[in-house]
Amino acid sequence: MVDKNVLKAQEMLKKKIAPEYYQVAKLVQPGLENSRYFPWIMARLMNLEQAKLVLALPDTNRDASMGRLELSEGFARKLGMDKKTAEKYVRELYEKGFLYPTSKGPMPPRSMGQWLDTQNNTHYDRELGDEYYTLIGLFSDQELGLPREERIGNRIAAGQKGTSGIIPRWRAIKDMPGILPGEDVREILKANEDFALLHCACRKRYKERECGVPEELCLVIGRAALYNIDRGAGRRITREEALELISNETAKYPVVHVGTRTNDPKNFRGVLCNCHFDCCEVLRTPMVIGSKYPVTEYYCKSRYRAVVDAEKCIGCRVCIDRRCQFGAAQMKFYPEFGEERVYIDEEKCMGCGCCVETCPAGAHTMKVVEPPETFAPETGINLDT
Amino acid sequence: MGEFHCPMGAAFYDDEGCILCEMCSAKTEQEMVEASKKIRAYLRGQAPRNTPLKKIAVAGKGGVGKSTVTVLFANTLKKKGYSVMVLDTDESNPGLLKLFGFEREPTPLITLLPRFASGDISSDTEWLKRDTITPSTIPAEYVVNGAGLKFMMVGKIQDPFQGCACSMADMSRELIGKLALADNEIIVVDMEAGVESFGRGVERHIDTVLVIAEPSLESISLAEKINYMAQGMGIDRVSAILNKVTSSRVEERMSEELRKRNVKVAGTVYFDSVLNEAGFDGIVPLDSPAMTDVQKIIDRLLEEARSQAGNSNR
Repeated sequence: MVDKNVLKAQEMLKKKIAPEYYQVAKLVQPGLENSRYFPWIMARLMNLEQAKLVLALPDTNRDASMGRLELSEGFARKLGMDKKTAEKYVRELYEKGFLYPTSKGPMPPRSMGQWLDTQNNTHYDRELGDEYYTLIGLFSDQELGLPREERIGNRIAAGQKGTSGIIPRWRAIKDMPGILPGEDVREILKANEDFALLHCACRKRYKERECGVPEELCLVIGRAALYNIDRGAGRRITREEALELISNETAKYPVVHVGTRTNDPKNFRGVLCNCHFDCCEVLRTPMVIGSKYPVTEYYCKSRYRAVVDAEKCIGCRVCIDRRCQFGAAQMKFYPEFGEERVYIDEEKCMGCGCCVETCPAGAHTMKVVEPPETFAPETGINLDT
Repeated sequence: MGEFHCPMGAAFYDDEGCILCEMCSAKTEQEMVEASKKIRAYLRGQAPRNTPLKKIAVAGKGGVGKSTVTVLFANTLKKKGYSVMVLDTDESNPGLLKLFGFEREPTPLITLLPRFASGDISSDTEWLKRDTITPSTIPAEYVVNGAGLKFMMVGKIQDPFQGCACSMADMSRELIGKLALADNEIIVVDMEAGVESFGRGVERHIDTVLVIAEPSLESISLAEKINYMAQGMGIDRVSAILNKVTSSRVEERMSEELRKRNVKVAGTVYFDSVLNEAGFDGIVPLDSPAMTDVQKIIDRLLEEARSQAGNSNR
């Protein structure tokens, strides 16, 4: 039984679309005009007038006194629109996450690195339709894998470590000495002022998912919070609510914290994702679709690994069935106990701390396996060049 | 930004806070390398300029003479009228205390961690948790006073199973960061050999790093790495001190090798046979030629710091 949204998405693809949408696709990234999906995604995201507006940017008649989303009279006239209508279109595309308020005025994304912003403003869900998100899911699964692999290959060749990695659940590491400030989610929250809750763009695509992880689980911090609040995509929350979310709400699901690796929590001003492998577009690539690179090249492991004291293990299997996403928690026969108990495969363990946090018998702990200089020697980017 | 986590925390390209490094759109190796260069340049530019000379770290390869130079340095500064505190963060070599001529060991800071406290708990273990710490408020057992100097130590690994040095690095970082020094107070920190401390961010609150180099390519190579890492942490006063230099030819060669590696040179301490021989007795004589060399270096450093501060006040 094929998902009805997949059928609807396929119907979308059958429609003929205006040539402008292929040009918009090319603008976001050369080559995307040939994508089986992307031009149609653009066609659903914006109307033809908006597409023409986007193609005419940047507004070279701007002057420095104008607001970042403002347009000049001259620009609007060239498009055959009045300024008010043109700015209304701009405002909508800003809220939808396609146009950004830059110093050069409203501008489209510079690359696919920013493309998730067009998929998480729930105010536009009804207008865009479930099939819009499904189509994006198909696009991501089928066409974005290779470019991601290429980028990873280039990053490895450049001698750079990835900027994003698993950040351990704080309860799992709180008693360990020498936790770096950038590894302690509580420090990250303490160092920042603005927080917002966002719907996860990736997860919105997989409405039929069985993992039960909710959509609204993405925590944005600092400038990312302000941006998302301003465009109506994010819901402002207090530091206490953010801590509650991180500590308790996210503990209910098998989700791992993913974020920027930095030595200064004040530098962590982006997104603290709460990812599950089957509804996160990045984790899906190595873990569901298949990739020549292992998951650790997509997101770095933390400096910690889980360890089980088999004597304390009661064999409840919570860690295996409901916590570990990476298959690191496994049952092994222990002759000294005459039965199977849990053991951790360190190769697979990403150090997320999910299993440690919820072990009813307290059999799981964390241990440090990598020295601090591997985390973020300078500031979240390992600059070896 | 979704999949890409911007290290500057910008929400989108050309957002406030974006430094236009273009790492978000970098696809090829070349683009990534260029982007990371821009980030480095930005970080260097962020370094607090013209910081006063108050928290000095002495770093370098093992055996180059860090501890000896620390003793000469501390005593020179004291003679100039500064109130000098010395912090020994070296986790392996126990010699610094004796080189200063101290007999009694202060309580190591590591005992403040519950795991290392051996039951003999002092009355005040919470002082390191305060936001700022003035030297006079540090409980007496952690400081050894003598000959006009204050000496503290972080701790030593004695038991092979005592585990990782992370917590000691934490202590060092905490104390150095929170220390509020008056105008005439200076702290000189004797670092662990190598670059481990930099990886742990111990030097984050240091304003001056002096890397000791001896006539060997290895120590000069390491000086380059230390220079790179310290600058990456935003410390703008990093320079090398040539030590144990036997001739002007050696001095020239060392200077040239360091210059090639973009390392500034603060001065030279010539090989001092009196000092060297006294070393075998665990003594650093304070009246030998090496002391004069160190005095010249300190004079120069202080003068530079003063004139930089003067320039920035105009």
